[in-house]
Amino acid sequence: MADVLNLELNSSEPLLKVSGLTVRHLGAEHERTIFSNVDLSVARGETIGIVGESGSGKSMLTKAIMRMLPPYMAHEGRIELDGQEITNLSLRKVHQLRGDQMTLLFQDPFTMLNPVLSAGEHILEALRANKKFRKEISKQESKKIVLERLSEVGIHDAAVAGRFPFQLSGGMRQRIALATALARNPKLLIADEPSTALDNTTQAEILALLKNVQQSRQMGLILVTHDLRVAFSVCDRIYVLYAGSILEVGPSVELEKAPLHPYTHGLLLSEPPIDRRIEVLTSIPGSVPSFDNVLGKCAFAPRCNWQTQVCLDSTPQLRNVGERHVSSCLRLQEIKSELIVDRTGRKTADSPFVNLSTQSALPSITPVLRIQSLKKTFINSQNRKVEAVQNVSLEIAPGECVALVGESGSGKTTLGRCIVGLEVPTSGSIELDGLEATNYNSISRESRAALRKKAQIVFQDPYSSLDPRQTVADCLSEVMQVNGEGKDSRNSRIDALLKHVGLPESYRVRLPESLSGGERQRVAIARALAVEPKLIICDEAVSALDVSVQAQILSLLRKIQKEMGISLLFITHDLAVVRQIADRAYVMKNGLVVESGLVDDVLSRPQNEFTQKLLSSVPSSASQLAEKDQTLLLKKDKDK
Amino acid sequence: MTLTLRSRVSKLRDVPGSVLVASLIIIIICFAAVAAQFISPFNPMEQDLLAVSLKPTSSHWLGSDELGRDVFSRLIAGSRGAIIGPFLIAFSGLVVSAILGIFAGYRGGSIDNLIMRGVDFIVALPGLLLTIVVVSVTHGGYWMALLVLGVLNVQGDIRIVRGVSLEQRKLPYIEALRVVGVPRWRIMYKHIVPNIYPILIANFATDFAGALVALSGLSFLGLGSQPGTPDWGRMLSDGQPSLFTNYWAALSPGITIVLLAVSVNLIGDWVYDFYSKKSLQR
Repeated sequence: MADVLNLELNSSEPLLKVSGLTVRHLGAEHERTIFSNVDLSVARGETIGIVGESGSGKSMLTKAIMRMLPPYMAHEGRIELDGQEITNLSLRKVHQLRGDQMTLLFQDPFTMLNPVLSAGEHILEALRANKKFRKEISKQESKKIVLERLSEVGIHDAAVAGRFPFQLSGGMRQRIALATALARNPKLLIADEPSTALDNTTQAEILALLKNVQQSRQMGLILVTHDLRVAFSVCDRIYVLYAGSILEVGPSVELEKAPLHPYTHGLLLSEPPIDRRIEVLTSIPGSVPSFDNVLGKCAFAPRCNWQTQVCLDSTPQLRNVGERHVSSCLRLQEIKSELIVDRTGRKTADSPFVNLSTQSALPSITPVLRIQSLKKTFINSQNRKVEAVQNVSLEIAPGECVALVGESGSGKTTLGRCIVGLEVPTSGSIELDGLEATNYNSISRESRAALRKKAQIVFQDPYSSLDPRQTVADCLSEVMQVNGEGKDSRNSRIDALLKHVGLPESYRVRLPESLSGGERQRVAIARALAVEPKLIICDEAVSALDVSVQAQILSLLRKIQKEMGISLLFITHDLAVVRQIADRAYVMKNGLVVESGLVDDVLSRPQNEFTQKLLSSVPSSASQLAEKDQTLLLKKDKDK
Repeated sequence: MTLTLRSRVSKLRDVPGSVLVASLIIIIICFAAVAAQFISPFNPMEQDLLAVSLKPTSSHWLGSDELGRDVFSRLIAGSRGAIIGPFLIAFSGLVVSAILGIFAGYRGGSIDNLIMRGVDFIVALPGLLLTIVVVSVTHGGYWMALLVLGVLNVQGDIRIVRGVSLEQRKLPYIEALRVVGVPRWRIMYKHIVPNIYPILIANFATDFAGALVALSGLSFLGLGSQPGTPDWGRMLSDGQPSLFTNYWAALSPGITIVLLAVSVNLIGDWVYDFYSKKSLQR
């Protein structure tokens, strides 16, 4: 373990030094280990990333460092902040450290701020926690300080200080939260998924801001994220956390170019590239286990392609594999070359379905979906009209996958909900496979039932899209029952459906709570397939999933589209996903389609300014940019 | 891997002690209510003027009251009314609120308006006063008291159930069911009911305890049960004049009322916590 501790940038005392940290969840029934034996260090002015999928224990790690673990969690090990040991410091003393020495920035900008305090009051509140400040600083001065803090996070409009959270956008709130966290000049900032809940363009701004503030203050920064791309764009060094163990630590440049652990490698490959379509999407089979399930062996072994008996015999230790680079893989020397082959040998798929491009080219086919100048107006709580969708026309041919891209508030979800009758459009028309589907409420029961068999929807959040009290089989069976299917055929079709979405038959009796996010999403897809629709609307269907699982679901959707000829309307904000799955794309902004066309055209040669902005805000590090340029050059050569 | 209470509570030590004690109390009281004739040592109505206002003895475990009736036997006889009345009130509250509350919450619009204005009307009534007036004017006794308390009680339940149904309605799984074509009634009663079950249980428990206290209060005031019937509330008021000389006769029904009410609440709380914790740990 001593190797890890030697990783600091300079030989001087690190700002934060964590050694042998273990956190356990205490419980009456059984104790669970969240993570174990974690060593970590942050030098002054250094940015480290903690990367891990959900369930890896990364959030608990930050809470343990901040000494903010809930009472039913116990920690052991050693945490030193700026030379002072804080592992077992009394909570009162820790409280004084928080804000002054270290501070935490949370993910959700919508719940992180107190709704009854204005932006300025938030910052003031943080300042006032310091006794000295309360005594010595006058009201006038404190106002000035608040404005200073705001301008540091890029808010130069003094009026913002008087606004309340609900009057601010997500990005603005995150800025306010950052200003609040930085109010008392802490030496260490821990940011827990600070950009995940934000739109791509805002995300890029917040990340740039974080990096900026960190550099100008020479502060230590720990960025916790599930997104390797985000980590690469900001961090100096990256810790890869998986099922409660650190698997690899290394400089982010090296980690990106040549990861030396199969998990990091798999994670990198699962991240779909934005610039080309991969023929066979790589994913890591299965899902993240809990620490106790992989006790006594390599945590990643059950999902690893290179697993052998050695990996199952003992818990591997981190070992030096390069300068300031450690990995826990036992078989690294043997498989190193295979990792490289695996990384470079991926085939790029041809641009899909060029001949199916537009409706005008094939006038004889009835489109699965035809939307004409659709409008949807909401009345908001202040009794003002909000035009969520203004005048959108869209068509989907049979067997085609069309992406609807846009940021939150662009109206893309509303459009999807109108198609399946969850919203009634204000004006315009929707036709599903030749049937009128504009207003589900105004048509007869029979025609409504017919429409249900045309279009189905899969939602974003796999945790709330299944009835928690219904087994998988009951869920699928009910769908078929209400569509008038007999008991025998239902039974046999449940098996077929499960097989189709890649779940074993034994899952029939499972309840959602015992399924992972990816498995739940498979069940949700099976439920949609149960009515044999012509079109499935995927409303951010893979956005809430871990990267390694995301690719599994994308491959499944590709397979469904290809083998069953079902059209997909893929609603998403993620351009890389669009590249992997869609044939055509529509880009929406403020309820209007600003650009549409073949995916290749939209993503490689965007015409609209907004599309260009979206594309440029996808987090990418320097080397990725270079690669992008190269492929563009290659393409140009080909064109010539 | 199932959510049923039975499979989770496989070991009694998983259940907190207070809940075990509460269950024991309720089991004992229910047993007394069922087997009253067989276990009571004396006829609860029989007056023995030679054994008036006795302290607890080996034959009269809780002593006797001013008319020489055995307090213990009267407690046992009174347990039936103490369980049936509150149970009926709480159960009707459960059923009516499950039907109307979910309907109002899920359907919304004018149906919601209609139901909720009805609820508002009941809220506007001065509850206890109305009960006293109606019961005394109609001479309806115990059953009339049940009816009036039942109607008054249901408004709170409907509001709570409507609130949680509104919450459920917005969840993607309900929307997915709508898109798949599951009929409305089926969504309401096959999907929403099981998912708001903890709330219904908790409502039932608070209603039960509230109704027990309210019914006993009415009996204490001389309304509700007929004079002479062994009713806990009436025993309390009968024993009140001799509270300082023969306190067992007044205290024992008082204590049983408190014990039963607290026990039911404890169990309701625990069941609610149990299910909510489960749903939080997704």
